[in-house]
Amino acid sequence: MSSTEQGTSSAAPAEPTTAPESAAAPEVPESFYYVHGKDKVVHKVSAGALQHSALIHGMISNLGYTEEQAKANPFPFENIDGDILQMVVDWCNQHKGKPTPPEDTNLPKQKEKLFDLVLAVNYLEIKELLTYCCKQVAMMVKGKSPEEIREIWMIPTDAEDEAAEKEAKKRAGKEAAGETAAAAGDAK
Amino acid sequence: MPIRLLSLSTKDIKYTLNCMNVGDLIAFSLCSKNAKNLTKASNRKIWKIRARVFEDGVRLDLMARRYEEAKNWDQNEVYVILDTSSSVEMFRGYGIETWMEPEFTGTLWIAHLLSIFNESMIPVLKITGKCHMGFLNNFIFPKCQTLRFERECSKELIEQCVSKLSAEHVEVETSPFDVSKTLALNLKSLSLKPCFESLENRFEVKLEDLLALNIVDLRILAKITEKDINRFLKLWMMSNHQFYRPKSIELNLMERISEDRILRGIKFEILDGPRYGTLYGLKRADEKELKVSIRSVGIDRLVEIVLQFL
Repeated sequence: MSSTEQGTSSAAPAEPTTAPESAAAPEVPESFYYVHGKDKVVHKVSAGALQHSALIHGMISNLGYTEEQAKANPFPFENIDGDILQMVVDWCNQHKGKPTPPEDTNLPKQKEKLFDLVLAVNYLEIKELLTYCCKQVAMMVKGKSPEEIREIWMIPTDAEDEAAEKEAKKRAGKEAAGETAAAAGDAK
Repeated sequence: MPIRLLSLSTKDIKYTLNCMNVGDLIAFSLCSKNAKNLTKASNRKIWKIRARVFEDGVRLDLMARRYEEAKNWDQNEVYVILDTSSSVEMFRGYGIETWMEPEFTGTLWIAHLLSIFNESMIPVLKITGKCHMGFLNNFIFPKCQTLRFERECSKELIEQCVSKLSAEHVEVETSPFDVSKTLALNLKSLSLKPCFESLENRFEVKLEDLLALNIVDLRILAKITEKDINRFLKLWMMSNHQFYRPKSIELNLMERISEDRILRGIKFEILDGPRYGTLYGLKRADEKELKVSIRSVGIDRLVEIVLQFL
């Protein structure tokens, strides 16, 4: 598990407490990196755990940070809520260096957070976790009728889709007319 | 708490849909046109689709995977019972559900269910004996690969259905009837084999039927004389540059015949045999060839003749 602490900015994070290492920790000293979300809480994560994320792994490979530099420059993920990032970090730590099982029982159970979690995981490119999340999303509608699915997944009806399309067209038309008028004004 | 699925990336939506079983996917496809298109784009394949027409209903079976590959048998199969109304009864492992789409008819239900799995044809359409044209006329079926008539179907029903429905291959399992008209139908493939094969259950075929045959590939449990086969072969040998549509005729005779009487007066060469039957080659003046295979099959050594027009 990782530990977290309140940071004030990405430039000067306070000293984070280290995460307790698992019993099977490697003998070679492991390097650690730091990430924070929208809430600026800094999470210390090992390089091994971060390998799950293709995005962060790519960033690490390109930057070649030393431990000190990594501490001073946590990776900022301003588009991810703090609690969601916490879930992701927890998952990465739990599955560090382990083959991911076909069914993951450690997946967060909070359905209300699932949507944000999918978006975050997709952004961070964590393939295995995304797989589990999508399965969880699919399970939400298991055995449900079309009406129930429409409600759970907030799917607009055809009439709503048409109305939205009309609205978009109208707005685009207005914008185009506005631009033409502005161009004509400029020409005068 | 609801989540806005359509706000996810296309890849995530596709993966989510791939995690759903067939029944849930059908339910999703009915949510909106957009949902239907997403279902189609997920490219889900169905292992087996078949439809069966009863007196006042059509049952559509969708089997997602082979039985040995299915993880959950309950949800591997979906049965849909359709009638002329806009509602259907759905069996998808959660008991009987009634779904209604006010704008749908039976025909549209079938079209929807096939199109979401990117199928343009019904692989197997079975017509039961209780089916009648009055009910069938309420439906427009897409083309089917195999149109099968079960044993109680009448000759009239078969002829009407064959002219109304478009099928690549027709299988008739009924008791014998006068097949003269049926053999003249324009079909790619026809199999006339009663459910219970016996000497009494053979379809009577005459020389005229073979001459008027308009089916590319015919398989029939036939009652035909050696003389008629011999005359047919002689007429074929004598005709020159004449168009004859059939490419293969398989006659299961269920009785022993004399190969000498069948080939009497015909010039032929032996191409293969006689260990597993004999293959004769016939060649006429315009260079057209006909292969005649005569072999005994099964424990009763019953004769099967296959004519292949090259």
